Amino acid sequence: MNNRLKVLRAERDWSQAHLAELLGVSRQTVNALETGRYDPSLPLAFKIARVFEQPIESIFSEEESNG
Amino acid sequence: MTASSPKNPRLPRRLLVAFGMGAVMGAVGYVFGRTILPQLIGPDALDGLNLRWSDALAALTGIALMIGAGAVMVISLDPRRLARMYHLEEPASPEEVGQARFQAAVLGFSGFILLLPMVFVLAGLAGGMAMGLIILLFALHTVLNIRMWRGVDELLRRTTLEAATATFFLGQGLLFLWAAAERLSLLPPLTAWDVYAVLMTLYLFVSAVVSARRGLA
Repeated sequence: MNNRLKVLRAERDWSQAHLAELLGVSRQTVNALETGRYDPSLPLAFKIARVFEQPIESIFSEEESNG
Repeated sequence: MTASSPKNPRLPRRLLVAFGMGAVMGAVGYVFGRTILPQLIGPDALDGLNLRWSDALAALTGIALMIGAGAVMVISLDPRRLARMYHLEEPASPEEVGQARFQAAVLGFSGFILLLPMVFVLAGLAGGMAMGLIILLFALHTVLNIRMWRGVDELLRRTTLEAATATFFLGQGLLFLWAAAERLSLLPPLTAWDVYAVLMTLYLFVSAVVSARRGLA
């Protein structure tokens, strides 16, 4: 799964702590999401979409398969 | 710019170093117990205690848990170091420091409980009283674990579940193979303590790997 979380956060000049507070998660989770180490649950993905006021599919996208 | 889920993220160097140190500690402990210890306390001093390989494994795992907890406690004294450990942009907040210390305390407590049955045997404590104390501490440990579970977010819960799942599949595979060999009279029977020591060692190893892959170590 690909995501644009880091770009969206940078565009708004938000800190990891601020985004974590808006999402109700830890900074570790924000970091894991931004570095692609963790794919969020569906409720968290919806929350992220609400916070950034964008549809989920513009934030998250499927990885292109090599085959 | 996008982030993508790494297919096979490399384990952090510090985790590999920790595993290496654990292996060296185990080897040193084994050599010490085989060669130097009998000279210090007498060759027959431990004969009546019925010590098994699983005692050594459980002791190594219990001590590793306590050392890990101690390391987090020391790192948490400096919020910048704690933030570096968790790959965070800014120093850890007092709340994050408190959470890290609580999690480390529960981890260290797990190691302490794991060591207790062997400590009681070595100290020659009465069975019923020792078991009563273990049950009491186990109940306290369970309460702390539930409190920790309720206090963390979905990343840590997912990490815990993944570690538990992987441990189950690895553990049941090993147990099946041993049980089959035991049934065929190829291997000696295991005790509950043997199985538990292997299970906890597996869980420690697997949860360290899973946490590292999620950027938590």
